[in-house]
Amino acid sequence: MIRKNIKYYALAALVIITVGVALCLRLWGGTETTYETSFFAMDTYMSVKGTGKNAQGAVEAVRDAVIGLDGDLSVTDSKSLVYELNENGSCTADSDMEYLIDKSLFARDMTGGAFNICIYPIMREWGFTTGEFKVPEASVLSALCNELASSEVTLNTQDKSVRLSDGTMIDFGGIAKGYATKVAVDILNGKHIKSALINLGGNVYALGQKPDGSLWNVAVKSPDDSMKYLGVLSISDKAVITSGGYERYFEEGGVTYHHIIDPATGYPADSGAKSVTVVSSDPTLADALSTAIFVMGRDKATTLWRKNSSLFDFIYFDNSGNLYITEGIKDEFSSEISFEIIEK
Amino acid sequence: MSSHQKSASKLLKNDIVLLAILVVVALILFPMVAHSKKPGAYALVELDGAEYATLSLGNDTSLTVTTDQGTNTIVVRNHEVSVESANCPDLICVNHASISLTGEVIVCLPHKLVITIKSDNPAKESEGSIDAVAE
Repeated sequence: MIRKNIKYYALAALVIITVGVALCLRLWGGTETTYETSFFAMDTYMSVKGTGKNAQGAVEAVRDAVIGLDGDLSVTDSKSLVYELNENGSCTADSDMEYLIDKSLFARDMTGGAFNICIYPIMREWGFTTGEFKVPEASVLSALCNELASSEVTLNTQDKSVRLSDGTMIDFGGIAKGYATKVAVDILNGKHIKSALINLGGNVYALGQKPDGSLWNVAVKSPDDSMKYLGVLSISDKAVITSGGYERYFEEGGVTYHHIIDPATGYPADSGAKSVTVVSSDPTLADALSTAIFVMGRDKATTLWRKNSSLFDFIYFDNSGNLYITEGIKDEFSSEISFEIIEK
Repeated sequence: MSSHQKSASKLLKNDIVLLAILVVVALILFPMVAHSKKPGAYALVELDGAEYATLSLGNDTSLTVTTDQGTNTIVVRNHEVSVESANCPDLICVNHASISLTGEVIVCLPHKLVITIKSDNPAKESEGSIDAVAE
């Protein structure tokens, strides 16, 4: 009699546990939602998708922060701190500017000046900041390049004062989207979002893993019409940022002028690169380096990477159609075309 | 002998009860686990962040979107979507290659028009497909 009861109790317990676990899973899953929003900011189209508890609140906080940054980092908005700095040659940095200047100077020194926020007067001369494109006089460009070579930005870490050398003007345009990505990641982490995809106009950051636990697949767009993608990266907690001359350019007299200007010459970079993608856990640095590597070319970029391989990896597609990737992403990258692995 | 027989038949009976319960539990759980939807993809057309239209990739069609900003004519042909014509200043949307894979996007910034390829099978979507394009 007791044995019989035990069997029934065991069976009842089994049923209760099974249903209980199922309900718990369902309720648990029910509080985890996916929310996606898209918006226009920084002259581009952006989308943010996050999964977690209160995903909507977190994703909307990201949107508001990025739209706010757009105004704060503007070189043309007379209310922005950057405008004030360029007008007066000095200002007191807020936390955004402090981080951006610190990172910009780090990237400049690291790349031997291939990335330089003081290139703004040259970009303005070409019309890339306004859309009123023109090819500047060679003499004007060489004068601006000489000025750029001696341009200095100094940040006093004690009182946060920023000072520009005479004639220097800065623009964070080259790293604004990377920094906006960093801000987005910080907000999502702070709100305990474990899975998100941030796409700020083709600057992608994959946070955590997909809700199903697999890696995010981020394709790298091909600059050639002959194929769609250079390849696909399967990644987690990484930024993927691409620079290519095809992004913004104009034609004059049958010549195409793209927007990635070599600070050494004042002319569009001509290093042999067609598309450069940087993969890094630091989105701000990745943004700066994608531009810098496009300017530097493969050989200099390889040297740079060998010294700093813990900070980033890159994918390099040249004008002859050759594809190269650095060793650190060889397991994450796949492509339909053949590629060479750059080793340490 | 007879008691052994009795316990064997009882075991069988309990087995059937257990099996029946498992079947019932499975039937309860199945709808929770499976979100079976028809596979296939469509193009979502958005204007300034708001949904404007959806176009099935299965039907060749064209859609002209006219707003205060201007017009764009979107064409679906052979499961591919492209912008055939537009009166925006940069024509980036018209020059963009046609799109067909889930997650691919054509954007017309001046007109705040966004065309995104969506899959209506999110489960299938996560298997090896592209989540985003770095460009």
